[in-house]
This record gives sequence, structure tokens and C-alpha cells, in this order.
Amino acid sequence: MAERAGLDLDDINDDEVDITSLTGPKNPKPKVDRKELNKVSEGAGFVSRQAPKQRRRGGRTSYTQQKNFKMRPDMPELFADVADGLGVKDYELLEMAIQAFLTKQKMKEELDRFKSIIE
Amino acid sequence: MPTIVMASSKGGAGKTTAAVTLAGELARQGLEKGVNIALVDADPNKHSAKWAKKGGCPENLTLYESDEASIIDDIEKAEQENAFVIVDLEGTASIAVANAVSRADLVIILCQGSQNDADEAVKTIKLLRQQGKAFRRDIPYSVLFTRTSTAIVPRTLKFIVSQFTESGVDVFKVSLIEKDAYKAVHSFGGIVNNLDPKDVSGIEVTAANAKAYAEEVKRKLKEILSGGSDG
Repeated sequence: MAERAGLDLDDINDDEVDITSLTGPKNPKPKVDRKELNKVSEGAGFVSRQAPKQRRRGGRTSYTQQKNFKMRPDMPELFADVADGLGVKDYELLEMAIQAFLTKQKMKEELDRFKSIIE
Repeated sequence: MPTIVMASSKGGAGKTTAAVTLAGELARQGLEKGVNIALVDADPNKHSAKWAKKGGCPENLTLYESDEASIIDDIEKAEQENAFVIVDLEGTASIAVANAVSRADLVIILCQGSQNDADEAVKTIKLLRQQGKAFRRDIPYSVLFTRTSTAIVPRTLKFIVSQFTESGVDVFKVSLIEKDAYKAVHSFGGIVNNLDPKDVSGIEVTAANAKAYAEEVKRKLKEILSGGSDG
């Protein structure tokens, strides 16, 4: 039976390899096809541990906050009709209305805040 | 510009200790020579990353946090920006491990002196051989024993070493010894050499062990880069 070598602490100062001698150009490694690599890995029992990413439909939107408020009867339908007529979403119509109102009322400070939010 | 990957499909084998120790020691040696070291942490537990962020690391050490999906790209980016790349991985048989070793110049397979660790080390060796066959590139590797005692060499460890060597598996002459100083760097940050003897015992012997380990890695790399051993 082979004997295990000791900790090899006696000769740590002998034949020290200069770290800069190992910093030359890299040994070229062939590019491997990742699908093929996965196949080989799975064959050796090395499998994915990462949950598959859920497919995202549509783009990421900046409209992430929700605000519920009550309206008079039939107002939601009117709101939807105006939005459809302009070809915009409900939340875009609301922003257009707020912007028009602040502009008309010359509420400069609030208008600046509005602009900084939608930027 | 070598890439060294720490691999074991079993948790607790000592990958993070081996990665952090090697990264810290190489960074210490390269600090005044303009040699930059990358530490790529692809273990979801991020123990290496936590150590690197704690402060006290040599300035020439840069952390790259990675995951299974981006490990190959992250290694290639780190290779472009640094002289040495050291990769720490999670202790499972995962695609991340398989992907990382495909980019390695040297794979260090961590193993404690137990049958279970040795079985898992064999699993990693088989992966390397299968990749080597599939892609016609021998991936150099060597087994590093961890958490060894300075006082005794248990029979189980002797038996495992003999099994490896008889099968032609390269085994590090040095092993990482069980020392509190290796654990203490995760509490205090920085490298073993900079620990305070008031806080931690055994700093000198641990620092000597870390240096011997880094020297053996460098000797292996020198041989590999000159076209010598292929594990």
C-alpha cells in the first residue's frame, strides 16, 4: 500500500515558482458546443440545478404601482371608450389627463414632478 | 494565464477553503508584481464572495459572482482581465461544475479522507474523462485532501490515497490541514498571514501550509503549461 506523503513543509522555500512565470498567453482551449457539453455532463450525472426561467410575455413595463379608486356609474366605460379612441392604455390616458390638467392650471411645480416621474 | 477550478460533487469537501486560500496566497505573492487574481464564486451559498467582500483581501484580487447560466462567460471575462482565475463551485453534481471544468487549465478535486468523499471525487474524475473524450482535450486534474490532521494519517485516508495512486490519479503531496485559522479568515476577512495571533492560534503553521499548497499548484501549472502532465 502506498504511503501518504507528509505535509511537505520542509522544502517550501526551495524551488519557489515565480508567479510571473505563469502569466503568459493562455493555453488555447477548443470552444465546445454548449448543448453537446450539457449532454456529456448529464451522461456523467451532472445535471442542471437552476430552475428554468419563466417565459416573460411582452416587454417589461414601468407601470408597476396599483391605485384603486371609485368612479360614478358608467364612468369606467367612458374612460375605456376614450382610451380606445386614442389608441392608448387606461394608465396612459390617466397620465395624459393629469398632464393636461397641470398644464392648464399652470401648476409648474407639480408638472415638474410629473415629468421627473415619467422620464 | 491559468484557470483553476475547485470541484467536488459533495458539499463540505473544502472547496471554498481551497479556493479562498489559493486566491489569497497567489494575490499576496502577486501584489507587488502586478499580477491580478480573479475569484469566481458560482456557489449559490456565496461563501467565497462573502469572504472577498469582508475586506482585508489584497487589492489585486477581484471577485466575480456567477451562476450556472453564465459560468462559462464569467470565466472567460475573468480570464481576459486577470492573470489567474480561481473558480469556486457548489458541492453538487451540477451543470455549473461541468461547464466550469470545461474551461479549466487545472481542476482541483477536493476530498476528505472518507469513502463518501472519495466516491464523489471518482464521479468528478469520470466527468473529466468523459469530457476529455468528447471534446478531445485532456483536462488536467489532481486530488487535494482537506481537513487532514498534522498528527496522524488515518488508515482510511491511507487506503484512499493508495487507491488513487494505483489508478494513476494525480494526488497533491500537500494537503490542507484542519486549522482554526482557515475558518477564521471567514470571520475576520483577509488572508491567514494577516490574522492577529491574539485572536487565532496556529497562524504560522497555517500560513506555511497555504504557501506549500500554492507552491504545489504553481508547480503543477508550470508542468501543464509547458505541455507536461495532463493529470
